[in-house]
Amino acid sequence: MVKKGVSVAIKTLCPFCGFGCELGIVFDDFGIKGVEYLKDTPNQGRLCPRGSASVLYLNHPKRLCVPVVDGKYQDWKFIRKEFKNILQGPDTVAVTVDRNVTIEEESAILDFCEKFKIKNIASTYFEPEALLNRFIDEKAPAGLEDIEKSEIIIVFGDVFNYAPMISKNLINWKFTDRKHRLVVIDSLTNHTSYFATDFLMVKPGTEALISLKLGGENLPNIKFSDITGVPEEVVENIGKAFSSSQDGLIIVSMPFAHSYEPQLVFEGIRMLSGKSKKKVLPIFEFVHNNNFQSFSKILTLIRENKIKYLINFGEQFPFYYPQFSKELSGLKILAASTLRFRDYVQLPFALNIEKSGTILTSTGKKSLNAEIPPASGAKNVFEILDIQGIKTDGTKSVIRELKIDIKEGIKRIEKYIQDKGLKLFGEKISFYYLGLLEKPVLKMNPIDAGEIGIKSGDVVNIETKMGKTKLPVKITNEVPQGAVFTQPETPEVRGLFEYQTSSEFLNFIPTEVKIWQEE
Amino acid sequence: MARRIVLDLDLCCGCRSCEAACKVAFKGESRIRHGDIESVAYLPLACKHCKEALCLSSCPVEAITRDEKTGLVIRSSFKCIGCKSCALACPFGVIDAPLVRHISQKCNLCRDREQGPRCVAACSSGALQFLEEEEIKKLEIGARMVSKDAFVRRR
Repeated sequence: MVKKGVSVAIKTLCPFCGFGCELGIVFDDFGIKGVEYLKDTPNQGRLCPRGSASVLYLNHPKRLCVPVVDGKYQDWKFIRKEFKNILQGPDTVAVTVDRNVTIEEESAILDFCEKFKIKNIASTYFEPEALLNRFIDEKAPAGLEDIEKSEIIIVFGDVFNYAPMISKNLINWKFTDRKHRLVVIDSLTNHTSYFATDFLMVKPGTEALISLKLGGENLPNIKFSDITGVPEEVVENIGKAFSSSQDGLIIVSMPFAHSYEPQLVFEGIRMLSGKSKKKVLPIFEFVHNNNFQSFSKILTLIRENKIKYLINFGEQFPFYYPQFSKELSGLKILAASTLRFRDYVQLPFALNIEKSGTILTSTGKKSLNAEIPPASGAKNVFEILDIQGIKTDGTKSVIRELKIDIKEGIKRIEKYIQDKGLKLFGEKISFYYLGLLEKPVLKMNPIDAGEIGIKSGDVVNIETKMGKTKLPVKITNEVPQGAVFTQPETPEVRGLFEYQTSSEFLNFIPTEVKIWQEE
Repeated sequence: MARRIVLDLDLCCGCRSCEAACKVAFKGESRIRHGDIESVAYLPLACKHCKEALCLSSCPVEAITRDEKTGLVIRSSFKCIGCKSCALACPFGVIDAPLVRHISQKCNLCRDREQGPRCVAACSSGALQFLEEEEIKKLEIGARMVSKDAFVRRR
């Protein structure tokens, strides 16, 4: 704790991504005042826009502080009835876990489900990065010091936008020796690619094939160069150079709806890492310790009318995913969440920053110490269950083996890319976080924009199978022809994306889109 | 000795941490802005506290003054009438023309924070630095942008 005048800065761990930066939150007599950049930390006080904006989220005008039942404020005790009703028929209940839950709380949820024989437990954190927990080596996690040692680094996606904290180390590493080779693989020109030795600009959505090829998977009967837009020899050469180098590193980030079959991208990376005995530095906002069931199974049960109640612990679901609203409309939903939305039963939930416990970060496990007082009324999983008279110890842990069928996945990719229409892709840019600092835009190639007849800055209508909205256009050469990119950081934009349930992980995929300007 | 914010374009990765830090600290008024020369460079635009400040001479109500000790160009929000003269006069375009609370915004190098400006502290790539004038002269900042050789600066 650093005292300065009348205000106090409390040191904490930034909860808004899995990188684990430390920062100070300044309190004065009137509440949360701002962020303090503390020098004696692993991140040297440096923060990305999300870290700086963390106070805006703590003080968000929609922050839920009182339980709400069908739009009316209620007492916490009132909720006991709801829980009693629910627990009488455990087969009709589904429990889901979103982001912003500590490892201890995850175990408590599993414990609670086991006690009351609830079998349907799933994760509702649908970002593909949720699958990156397999790359966290608890004994020897990859860290920033691994960048300095490396001769060759392969980067999947735009790490500067996902975790700007890595930029200082990566740029310095690149420019300290001419021999250092930086390979960037992405479907649009990104910040990292400007510094790259080799930039493989793959055709939108086909990163999985590149990663599998690098991993040494045989891809017979596939016109590799035609599908990915990258010559086969180039990828093979990079794979050989990486395997034969003494020290190397793979850095991976995969945004929402950025690629088809992200689980195959990670599978290829696993193979490459195993073959070449090199570390992987996963960049994510959040991963679960326990691999819960796939939400696809619960969705099937909901469609068959077998589920009546849904209890969600965590930050964003179902608020962030309007595309599920039709399917969820028949259910009674109890949502322990941080922001207020719709007329469900809503229980104010504490943010990670306000709890004590353990969270997984890119560089291993880190602990939170609950020095930030929670917003009045916000409670954690233990406290919510305690009010219902449910005691848990939080020691359960289940790890599910993920079954990945490479052949099926490749078939699906081949099917997707046959459609020639304009596709909407997702990209991650940290300053669009939750729309607090900047509102999303639609990035478009000048040729596509010319065909529709729109200029930079025009506000256009966007419609997909799932929904429609309006966004301002930014015309840029960074984006390839035939694809438009947007930042799915608000529910309106996120709601545009289609999902498919055919694989074990519920995937949000690049979606066919209609764009027009009203006269 | 006066200290100033210096930008090393070679390092900037365009994450806009500086802008976010400023915006949060000054309640929605970002006093550092960004430029984007597409495919070439990203540049945070911060007040240079010019020796012959045009904003200072353009101000009709003397709301902008120079702090004699540090050489900072400072705007008083009490005196400012929001006429936008300074925004028009600034040759670097760093004073924000859209008026929040009907007064113009201007960087004061975070005078309220002992350790220096927040944008420099937040900068994720180390491109923004807070240096003494003598140190600035010694550095070849942004040499790569001019010479087109990535290694010039790191000889």
